[in-house]
Amino acid sequence: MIRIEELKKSYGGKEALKGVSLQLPRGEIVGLFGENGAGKSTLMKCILGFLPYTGDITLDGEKITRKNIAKISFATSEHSFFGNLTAEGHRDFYKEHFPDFSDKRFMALMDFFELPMSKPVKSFSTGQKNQFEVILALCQGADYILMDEPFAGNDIFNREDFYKVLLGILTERETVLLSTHLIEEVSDFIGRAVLIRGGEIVGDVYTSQLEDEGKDLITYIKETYHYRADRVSRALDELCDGEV
Amino acid sequence: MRSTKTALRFDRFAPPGMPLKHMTDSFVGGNIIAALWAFFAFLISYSADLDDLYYTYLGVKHIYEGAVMPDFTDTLGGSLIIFNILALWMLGYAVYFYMSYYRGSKSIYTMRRLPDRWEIHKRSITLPLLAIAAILVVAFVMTMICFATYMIFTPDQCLQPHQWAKLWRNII
Repeated sequence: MIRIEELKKSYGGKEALKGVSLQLPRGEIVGLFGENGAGKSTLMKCILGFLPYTGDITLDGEKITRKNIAKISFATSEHSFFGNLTAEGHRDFYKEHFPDFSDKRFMALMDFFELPMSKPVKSFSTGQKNQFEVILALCQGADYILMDEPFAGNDIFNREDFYKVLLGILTERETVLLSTHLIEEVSDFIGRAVLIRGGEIVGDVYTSQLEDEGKDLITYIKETYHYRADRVSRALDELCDGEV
Repeated sequence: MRSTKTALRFDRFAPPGMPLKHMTDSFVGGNIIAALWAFFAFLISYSADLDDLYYTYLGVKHIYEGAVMPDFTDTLGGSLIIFNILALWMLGYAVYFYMSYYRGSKSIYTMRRLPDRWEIHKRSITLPLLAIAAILVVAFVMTMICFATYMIFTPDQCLQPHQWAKLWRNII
């Protein structure tokens, strides 16, 4: 389990995370939702140790260090692959550094998405780059897979393929923390939704719980964010002096 | 086959996928230029110092009474300067290699979460340091060639004593 307690992070004087506490047990697919700048990426980067922070983050009861970092993988829309390296080169590199790297899963996913093995990854299209980024994260052999807007730039068919593949290949040991704006798309695919706003967790709910309450995810999010449906029409009204 | 193996071995000490041709070309070309520059700069300086030992009388060259040749290190002067520049250039590759993890994609995220914390350093500084070591060796060889030239062609009576010791004092 990844346990986050009272996590705080500031950039200059601005607080990006204001005492976030969260638990990510094994085997869950968790959606992390929030506006731009809400703190989603910062949260993930703190978990990975990329950013200094105050508070406590543990992985299966231990501090996250080089000894256990291989249990966490990361896919980001910024892309963390090596542009000049081929897919085959990545496979060799990952095999060398991550002992639990799944060659079988890697080849199956490369085959499924029809990605070339011997071309430098920088020559891939944006969609292919995103696919490859996620493939690496899924094949590292990690128990906790962090994904930060991994499908930005992929078309809808492609994304749907990915959700299906994800559901099909993930094992009980694997946890996915997926940050995305595509709420409706992932609503059937995630088991839990965590809402972050202004650096604070403002909502944390299991989708099964929502189903029991007869509520969908979008409604829950709108309620939690106190979304005002008439906001746009009122703004237009004011702008156009009631002529609209 | 041998060159492929060598290339693969070097790849392990550079950022993954980094083409090394530019660095190899700079290294080889730079060493050739530095070695040629060092030798010819030394020859020009040495010839001038050697000429100063002689005067011509009735068409015959004679050595001035009590004339001494400047120390080898003085004659050598700044002949090795290109090697210094080349070494700095190679050191620049360490920065270039490290910055490559931020260019295009953010592969720094992968490098920073590798279980082996030294991998990023290994792949950033090993080749530049090896190149600098090789440059030092070439510079040393060139110094020895120049020193041999100096010792062989300078008239014995004009040589100041302890040239070898003076050279080592300068090297150290």
